[in-house]
Amino acid sequence: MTFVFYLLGFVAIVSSICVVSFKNPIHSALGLVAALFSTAGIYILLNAEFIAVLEVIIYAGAIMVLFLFVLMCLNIRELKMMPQFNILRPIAIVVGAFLLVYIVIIIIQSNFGNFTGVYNEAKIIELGGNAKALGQVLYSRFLLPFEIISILLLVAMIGAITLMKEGLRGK
Amino acid sequence: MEITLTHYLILAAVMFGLGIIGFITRRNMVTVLMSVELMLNAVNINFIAFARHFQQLSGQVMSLFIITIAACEAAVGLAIIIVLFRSRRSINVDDANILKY
Amino acid sequence: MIEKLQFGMSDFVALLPEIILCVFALLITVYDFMSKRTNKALISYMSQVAFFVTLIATFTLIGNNYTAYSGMFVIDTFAIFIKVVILLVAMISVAASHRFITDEGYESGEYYILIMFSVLGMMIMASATDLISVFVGLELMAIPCYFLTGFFKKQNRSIEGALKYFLMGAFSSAVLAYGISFVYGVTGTTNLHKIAEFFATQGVDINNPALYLVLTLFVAGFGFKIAAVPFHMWCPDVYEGAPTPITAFMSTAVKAASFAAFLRVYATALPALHINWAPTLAVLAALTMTIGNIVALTQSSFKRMLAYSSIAHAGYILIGLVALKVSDGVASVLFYLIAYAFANMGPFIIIILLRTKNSSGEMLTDLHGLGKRAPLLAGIMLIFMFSLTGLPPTGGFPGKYYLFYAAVQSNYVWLTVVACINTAISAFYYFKVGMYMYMHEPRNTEELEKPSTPVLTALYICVGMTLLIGIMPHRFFEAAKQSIMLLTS
Repeated sequence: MTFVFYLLGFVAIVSSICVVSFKNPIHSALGLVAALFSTAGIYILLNAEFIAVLEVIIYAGAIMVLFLFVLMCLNIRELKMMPQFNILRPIAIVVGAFLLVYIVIIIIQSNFGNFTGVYNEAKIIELGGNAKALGQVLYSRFLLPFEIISILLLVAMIGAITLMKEGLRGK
Repeated sequence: MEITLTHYLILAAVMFGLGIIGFITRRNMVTVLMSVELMLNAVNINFIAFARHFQQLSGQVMSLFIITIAACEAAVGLAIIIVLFRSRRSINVDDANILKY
Repeated sequence: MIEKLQFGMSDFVALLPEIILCVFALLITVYDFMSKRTNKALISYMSQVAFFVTLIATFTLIGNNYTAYSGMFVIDTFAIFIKVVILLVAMISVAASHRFITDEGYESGEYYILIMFSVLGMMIMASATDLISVFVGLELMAIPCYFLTGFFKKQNRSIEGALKYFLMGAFSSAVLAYGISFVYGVTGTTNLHKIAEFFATQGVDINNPALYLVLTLFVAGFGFKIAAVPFHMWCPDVYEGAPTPITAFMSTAVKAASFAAFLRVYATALPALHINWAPTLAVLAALTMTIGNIVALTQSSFKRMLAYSSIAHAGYILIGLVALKVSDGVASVLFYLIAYAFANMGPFIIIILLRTKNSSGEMLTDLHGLGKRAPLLAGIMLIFMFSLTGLPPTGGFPGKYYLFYAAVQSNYVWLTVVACINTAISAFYYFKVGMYMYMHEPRNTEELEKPSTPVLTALYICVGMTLLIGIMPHRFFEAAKQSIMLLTS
């Protein structure tokens, strides 16, 4: 367990560094895929098998394919423009690193809650596995946010179509 | 050494921090978007680690929602980037249009 | 034990206005896809009907006080108050968009559909009593706004504004989500009432740094949404780039909904930590109004000036959050929100009316000599400027009065002094508008187009409400006071 965690954590962090440091966005995207895969492994360590599967299918699969598709469609060299963030890069890195260390220190010093919920491993097996137990919670207690999320996906779709539609109408 | 909650939280914090660094330093819009995805991923690790620690499922459900929202945001962001790219490339064609406003 | 779905009539009734709006929006979407191009104008009226029916449904729920959907959603007078404000603002924005979208060459029904879905998200935010429903409501509000900002996709500044808004919005959502994860980590729940219960029974461990991390992340996350300094940098570009009715919509409705969620989270879940977050918010409020006002002084674009002025107004509203513990603190926020909403929509509608063939109507020079070109518009504009400055007999005066009084009551005298100085600074640029209108010769002598009825109606409603709130503030303040009775209990 310990070894697996450190291995996955190492891969996740190294590939995250790759995401933010590689010049070529396609390399960054591949780094992100690696980071997401190792995160999925960590979810399995945390007994969240269903989320791990979703992470691979939706995140590493669908979303990253979308990213790569867009990157391939557009000419990457022309894409390097972001005039609004022209802060000095070294200063930004120092600030970011400071923030990172600060959050880590806070986490080490904090004491988080200690609760014992009902969903221990035996209970989850009794309910018929992680996915089934998750489904029961999702469709009972989290019904409202679940419905809203479905509308959110629809809106994202409508909006994207509106925006991408070529040409002006009327006039 | 046993792996505790803190280990997972620190891993998430490092990924979150790297996401912030990427967000403020990168100038390529797609990479900036990927940095945001990295941050949301860190949030998910946090939620699932807490859910495991508390033996609850609500944390896992929340990470489910965040994955969906991340998917939406990726679609939205990429759509905006493509439209911007299109208009930049065809900037001369639209000159008349821009001057009007 | 299996968690059972508990869905009764009361759940359905609580969500009725949202369900109505959603059904209308979906039907209009289908209609939009099937209809011919010539029928697009009808969609504007259909969305007005939808908002109106939703408004009536919201009104019928007055008097109900209960949580639904396993504590995810609450129906109370606070939520209803905010929803009414949001729906009115949305109706005014849609009316103000009449002919605007078509004139600019973007005839499309999706414009109204996106506004409707955004309003749906805001209504859910106003009622959300769980951090997860706050979060999804916020996303549902924000994502249509990204698209609406970039709706004029052939204009570079519109689409660039959309990109900037989107990136900042996504970033702030991630920060907020990270904050929520730590709240969950400390309290074991995301339900606002249960969080409050946790702090009430367990006490607040002030040595736990995680709490400060949570407060920092929350301030940053919400600060981006309400454009508080130093999280405001996206705001001027986005407000300038977006289509004018959308700017009006975002600077009022989005702000009202964000403040509602902000208020509910802080007043319901975190009152035990008030002593820890109030000073931070006070500094933030002072910074927000000072920087907003000072930068607004230097603008040459009227639209951009209004963007900075709306940043400054967010600063004033934050005062009310600082003074949350005082009996009228929250009520003064609600009162200010409604007074500000109408006074702030008005100038944007006038910008729309000032469009001519050769000018966008957005620059301060377009206002030169308006007193001669269009005396009525100039007079109305003056009323809005009075209200935004905070002069009687307009709604801005009692609004500022209640806020400042609440700040004094909660011993934040220095903040009141800063706010008063800021009011004086803001008077400079609001009066500059009046000076341009009456003391300068018109630069642009083009005849203004005859305004269409819906736009004029929207303008008259704004000016009427601004005056009405100013003339009888007590009525509105009483309504605001009653609506918050159950918020903090």
